[in-house]
Amino acid sequence: MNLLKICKINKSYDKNQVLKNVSFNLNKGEVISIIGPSGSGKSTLLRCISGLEHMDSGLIEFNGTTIAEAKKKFNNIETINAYKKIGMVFQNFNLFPHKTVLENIIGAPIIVNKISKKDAIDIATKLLIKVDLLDKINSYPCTLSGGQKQRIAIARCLAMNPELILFDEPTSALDPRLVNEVLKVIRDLADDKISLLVVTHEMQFAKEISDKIIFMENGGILENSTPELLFSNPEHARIKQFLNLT
Amino acid sequence: MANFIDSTAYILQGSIFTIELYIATIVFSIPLGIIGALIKVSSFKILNKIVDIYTWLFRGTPLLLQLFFTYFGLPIIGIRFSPFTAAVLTFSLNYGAYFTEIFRSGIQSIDKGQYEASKVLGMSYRQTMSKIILPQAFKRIIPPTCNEGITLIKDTALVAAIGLQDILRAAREIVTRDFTITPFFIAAIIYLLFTSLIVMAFRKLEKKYSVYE
Repeated sequence: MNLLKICKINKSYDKNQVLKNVSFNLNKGEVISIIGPSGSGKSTLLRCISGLEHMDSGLIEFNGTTIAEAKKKFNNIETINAYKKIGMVFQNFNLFPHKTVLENIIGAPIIVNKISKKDAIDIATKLLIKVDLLDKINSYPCTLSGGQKQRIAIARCLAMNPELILFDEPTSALDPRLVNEVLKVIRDLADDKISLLVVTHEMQFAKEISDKIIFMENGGILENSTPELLFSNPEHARIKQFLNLT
Repeated sequence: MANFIDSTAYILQGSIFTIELYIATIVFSIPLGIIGALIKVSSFKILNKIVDIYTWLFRGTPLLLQLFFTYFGLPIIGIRFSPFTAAVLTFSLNYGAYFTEIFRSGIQSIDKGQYEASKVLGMSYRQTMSKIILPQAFKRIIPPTCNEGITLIKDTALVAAIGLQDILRAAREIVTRDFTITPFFIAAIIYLLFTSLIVMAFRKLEKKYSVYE
């Protein structure tokens, strides 16, 4: 069943077209990785899906509801509820520095979902155990390493119970030795059958967890296939080059 | 020696007025600055332009000119204020303009990522501003606000020019009357005491909020 439908998205910044006729679907429980050279539009695509950017033309459907259409503003309750089910994890974590780890995680559930503080703390505690950072519950983000910050960011996202999580290069800002602890958490999410859309440069990881891999270049999708096919025998020579398969 | 104590007492009496003017200005100018800053970061184009003109006018002309305008100029066209009201009005509008720009730049210095994280978590603009942005901006504006707080103490001396009985005017009266330089030293010490107190208070505030960065 199609959780996410991306139809013919086009977007330009002034004269520069950054998304060209991008279309693909994501099924419930699927993990799709988007790979490709820098500047290919991967992040912009993710930002259009999460509602941070508007597109010039095209359609985005989530769970059967149209949540974004060019030149239209959706303020109805269905769209707002749909967006609440889409979470996003950023390359630069974007934790709230003036709040403790606990406050970071319980903030949105209390303010947006109006659940009680006690219930929110319960949820937060379980999530912190899941990402293995319960001991940091009252720490401030400035005292955490990059890998810890990203795991907290993921916990914060999970506290809102998303059906789809967008990852925008989640490990690109991390020291190499901290990458694995974050990848482990994402792998666990994939095992839990949460739908994930991951933009990443970690090729091995993408190959391992994804049901599908999308290769983007110059704003367009060059190839959309399974990890086995794409990594062993891609159709396009440029993909071979990018993956160092030549 | 008795003279010295008398002089000090006389000048200290002027300081009551200085303190009153100081507090009144703070009470009015800071909320004015907050409103101005929130308008400047909003998307209301007309209000934005009005605040632009307001800060341009009041930061672009001397405070003394604004004071003379209110106290000596306005009566000519029929608007008359008491000296104290004229002072509070002018100072509040003047400092409100400076605070508008200080608070605005504090808000705008907050990383865009904070807005984005809040948005994808489902928070509205108002929730984002009140829970995420403004608390962080508060910490950023402490040093420049401290500066304005110090400048205000010294600016209060300007009202000596419109006949108000503040520290400086009291000191000058004794200087002219008794032909002695001491009152100026006394006045300087009192001003230094006030400014030092303010600096200490802000330092405490800064320390309190540096926990997380």
